[in-house]
Amino acid sequence: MYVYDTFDQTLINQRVNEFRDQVKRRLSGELTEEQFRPLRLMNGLYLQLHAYMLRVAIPYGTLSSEQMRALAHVARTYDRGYGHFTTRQNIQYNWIRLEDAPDLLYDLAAAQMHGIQTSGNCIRNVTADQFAGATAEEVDDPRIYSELIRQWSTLHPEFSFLPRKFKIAVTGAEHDRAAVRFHDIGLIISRGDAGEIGFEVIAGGGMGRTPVVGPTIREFLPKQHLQSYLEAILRVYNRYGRRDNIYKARIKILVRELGAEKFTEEVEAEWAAIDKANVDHEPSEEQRVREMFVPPAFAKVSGGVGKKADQSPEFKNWYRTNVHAHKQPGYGIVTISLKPIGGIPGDASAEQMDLVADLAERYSFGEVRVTHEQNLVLPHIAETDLFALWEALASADLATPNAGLITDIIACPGLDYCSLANARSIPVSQRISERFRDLQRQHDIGDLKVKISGCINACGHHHAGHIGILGVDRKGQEFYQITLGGSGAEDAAIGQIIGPGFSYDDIVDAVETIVQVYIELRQEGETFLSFYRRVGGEPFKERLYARV
Amino acid sequence: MPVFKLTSSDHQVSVAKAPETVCMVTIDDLARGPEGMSVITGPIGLEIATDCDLDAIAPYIDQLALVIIRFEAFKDGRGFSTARLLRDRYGFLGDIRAAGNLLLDQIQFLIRVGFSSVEFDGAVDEDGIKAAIERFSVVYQTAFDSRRPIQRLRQSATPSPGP
Repeated sequence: MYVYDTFDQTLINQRVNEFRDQVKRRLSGELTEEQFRPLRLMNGLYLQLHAYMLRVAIPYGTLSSEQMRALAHVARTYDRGYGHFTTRQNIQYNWIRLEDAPDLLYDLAAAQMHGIQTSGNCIRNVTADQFAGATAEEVDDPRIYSELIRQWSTLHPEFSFLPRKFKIAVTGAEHDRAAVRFHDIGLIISRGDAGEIGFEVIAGGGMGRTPVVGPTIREFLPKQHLQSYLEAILRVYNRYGRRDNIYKARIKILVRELGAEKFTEEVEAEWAAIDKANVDHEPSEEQRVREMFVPPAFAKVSGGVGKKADQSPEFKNWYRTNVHAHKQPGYGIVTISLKPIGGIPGDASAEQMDLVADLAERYSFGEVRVTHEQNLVLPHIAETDLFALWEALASADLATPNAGLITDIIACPGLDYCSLANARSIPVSQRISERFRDLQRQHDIGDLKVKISGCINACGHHHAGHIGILGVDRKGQEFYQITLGGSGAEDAAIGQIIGPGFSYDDIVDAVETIVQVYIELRQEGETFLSFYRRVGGEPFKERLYARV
Repeated sequence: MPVFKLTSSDHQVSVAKAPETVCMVTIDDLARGPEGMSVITGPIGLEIATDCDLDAIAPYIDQLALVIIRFEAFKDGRGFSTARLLRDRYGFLGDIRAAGNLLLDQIQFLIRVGFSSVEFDGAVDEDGIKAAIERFSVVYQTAFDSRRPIQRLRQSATPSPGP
């Protein structure tokens, strides 16, 4: 785990002081709301429907037990006893008072946390594969490079007033859990011809109202040039990205309007002119960071999950979906589902956070991860501890055995919280979850990612859902448009609209119909996504829009 | 509004109100050459927009004592890259001034990318600017200014461990 030294801590403390001063100036009227807005946004403070919402950065989705406890403390002290883990691997608190925000950030700073650049038109909190350092498939640990990016991008003097927000994601694994092709910049750690480590660089991906699967703009960038290359991309974007229309201001529009080839030429020309030695990281800094991510002291584990576990069908169900192979023999990676049947995706109470912190300390070397699918992960669990862990999780409603199944739904806050939303997302997710609660049926359906957004901004990643649901407003009524075939993984694709939308009352039946068509017509072993890719939308359309 | 000169030395920035002695000219004046500006004897300056094509002014850069980059909106971050390029890429050594709709809270960023004076639209005093400049004692990145980024400070703080 990365641990702040006095330099990191100094900067965070000074940031808290600065924000306290800014809030004071706002409350006294010295700053107008228009002037205050970009300042509060860059500290993660939004004005929502009912109150301020504060978003706390969880860099590359990695938390220590102490940090998780700090999040619980914030939920308890400044919110209504819970928090909401987001698709950006962050946490949001929906009921914050402006007057409290400086104290809240002061408390977080003591746990080496902050809200810096979790909103605003700047380089946002960097995200990464939640299985980093635990999965066997990775070339190198994405947390190392994510931390270097975190430092480089924090309070960047040139890139803090960009045309629009800017998101960077990093993965080191073949299986993409970080949705790198849907980010402004995606980095895939890879090896060059001589075995040296570097990145495939993707730019101009994104969701929102114009979904784009980002093109690769550089096949291989040696790792030592990470910052100078990012700086070249950001400078081209900062200068030429559109500022006349908020909906056309993301880098994906610039890349599309210039064409990937011309955009790449601009970036390469800029990069050639940059004094790389001055901008790039020192090898000693990479080494210093790397040493903080060395694997923990794994024990020699033998004996498997144990007899009690073997005899528990409930445990076995959970093991089947929520435990992933670890690179260390005898260990597993555990996904803690924050999707209880009928619950709010991503919500966790202060008590649940405290419990997860305790369990991480006891069983997972004090490490917790947050996933972009709004779940938590305990990355290093000895097989022999799995049963005890499962029992403890189950006691707090944290052992829903549904990771990757149809009830493991991503949903944005939607009209229940968000001032941008056109329709509710959470209740739709809750109803789908209830409808498919039967576990045997969920297993029969298999891998199926349902993602729900309450408006075209697509915070619920509906474009990347195997089944995507987009809430729209039609003459004051909530309607839901369905897209099929999207994927945020290494086979990234944008879902296709299947036809006219469905009412709030009918949307769950429509999902049921889609699932039925798949179950009836699939071939042996065919997942929903591969079925859709084979047959296309027709069989679904026929059934969904059949005249009764 | 008063102009504040931001003078850097030894990693410290000092602030002082600057007397205005530069004569502003236009790009057309510059294009006409010396005869077009025969009445001007002192140093000259040019005002540009945040999205100025710097290649267009490059031929005249040596004649200029001052370039003013005018911000119509504080959110227009292009001016930061423009200043940086003017310093790094075009080697401009004169005064670069940020003028217009700017926030006090942007002052450190302005200095870091190469601005050397500032003229705020709103009322701002010397003490306010000083306080904003001193807000952060450490930085993560290398920029145009001479501040050493944290990663280099770390190198001198602790002897690097052996391989």
